[in-house]
Amino acid sequence: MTAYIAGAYELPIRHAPDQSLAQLQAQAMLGALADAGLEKSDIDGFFCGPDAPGTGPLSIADYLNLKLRHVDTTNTSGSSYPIHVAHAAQAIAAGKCNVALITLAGRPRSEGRAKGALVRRDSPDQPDFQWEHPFGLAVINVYGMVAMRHMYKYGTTPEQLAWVKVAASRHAQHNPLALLPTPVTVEEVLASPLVCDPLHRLDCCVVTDGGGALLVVRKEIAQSLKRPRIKIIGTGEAPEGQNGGYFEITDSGARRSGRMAFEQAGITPADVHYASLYDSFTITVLVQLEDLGFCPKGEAGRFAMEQSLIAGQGRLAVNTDGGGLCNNHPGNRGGMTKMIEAVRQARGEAHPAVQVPDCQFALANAIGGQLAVRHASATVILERES
Amino acid sequence: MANSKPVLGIDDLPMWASMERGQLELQRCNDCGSFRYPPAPVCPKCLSVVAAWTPVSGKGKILSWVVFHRKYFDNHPPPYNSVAVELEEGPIIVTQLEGPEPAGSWIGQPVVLGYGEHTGRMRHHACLAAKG
Repeated sequence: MTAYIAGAYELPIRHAPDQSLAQLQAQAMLGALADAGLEKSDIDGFFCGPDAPGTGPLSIADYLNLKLRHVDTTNTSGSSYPIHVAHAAQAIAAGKCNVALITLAGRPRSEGRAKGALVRRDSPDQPDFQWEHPFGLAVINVYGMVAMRHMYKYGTTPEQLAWVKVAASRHAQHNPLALLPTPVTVEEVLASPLVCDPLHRLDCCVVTDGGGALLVVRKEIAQSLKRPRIKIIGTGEAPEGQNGGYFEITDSGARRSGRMAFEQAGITPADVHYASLYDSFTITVLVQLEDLGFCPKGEAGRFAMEQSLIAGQGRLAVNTDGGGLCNNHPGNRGGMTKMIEAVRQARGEAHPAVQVPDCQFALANAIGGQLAVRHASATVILERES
Repeated sequence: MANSKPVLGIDDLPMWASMERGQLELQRCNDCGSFRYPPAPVCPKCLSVVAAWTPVSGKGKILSWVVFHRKYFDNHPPPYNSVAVELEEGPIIVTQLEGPEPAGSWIGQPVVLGYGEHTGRMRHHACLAAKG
């Protein structure tokens, strides 16, 4: 694989009542182009999710007046964007494009989903629909059940879950754009209202407007730019379902996507000291820590409680931008911001207070959909090329 | 307007019809005998495409559970619970516990399915069963 991430840009906005999705898409693209030092006319591949309004990639490509020879609208919900990175690298390797733009924009905060007020609209044509909504199963109920079983099976405690939020909040205090920049304690997490027992309000990610963009380019282009060269050295994608009703709800696709990415990269979890891990809820992070191999199965609660996730203290800094728990979860799709902070770390451009020294490798993992019932894990491993 | 009122999907008609009769049926593979859930055209164990809707015993145990404290669906006023039940036939289903609740963790508690009206139609729920 010889593709590089040349541009990465996170929209600074967290609440955008007066901006359209198309405007946010355009701002994200312009930010990534400026970051990379590329021109819009350099873009010949476009990757987006269903957050791009209109007909697949066509409406936004028309709005941005892109001249394209490759498009991809893979949708695995929040993990779409690391999958787009992998697919962009594959398309570049196959000679199908040279500069791939990947975008995300969303406005759930402005559209009334900030407090779960607006129910996600699923179609009755969706084969699993009948089996869940009629029994009151919202997204958080599934994650809560994963947490409850993890606690039962492995002795994980609410305090250990809370440490994931504590670590994110300590990072977020250095991010002036974070929605929730104030550090919190374990006690404050546990004292916040129970949303879905055992998950408290502070176990849940924020709901924000915003988005971001990435530019994946071929080697010769990366070498021509005045930016650190961040090489994509391993990727993996693992869609998981209910296997006909026979599955372990505390396992995730990160076991497969991580193994694929590490094998391709030729490194092990011990080589990685920064990871962006999808933090829709605190439990999501624990499951990924285990399934990616950063700790044995069942021990992620202890791993988090030992402050392992805090930059400068632990052995694996996680979500140094504050993550979805404190910084940003634009469009209810966290995979883009996970990629962007991993790029910052690999470049050495994270906030100095949270930058991992000599960060040669950075990993990003996303869990899209709903853990347990149906989700896709996507892993991307980056290396700074000297 | 935001509620979880069922809208029939073609794949699910036999399940809802079976609950109207007070006896949940799931697809059972004609070739290997495995039950499956949710409905699917192919057996997850042996890939056979031949299956028959077959009653389940209704016995199972709670695999996990939550209590949801926020309003999300109009027709599920909080607080309410969700439980994942591993049926004795094998598959995991999602339902809600009604009646007495266990003290402490609900996980591992034996349950039996019951049936009652919700949002204008019959639907399954779980009730605690005697241990043993």
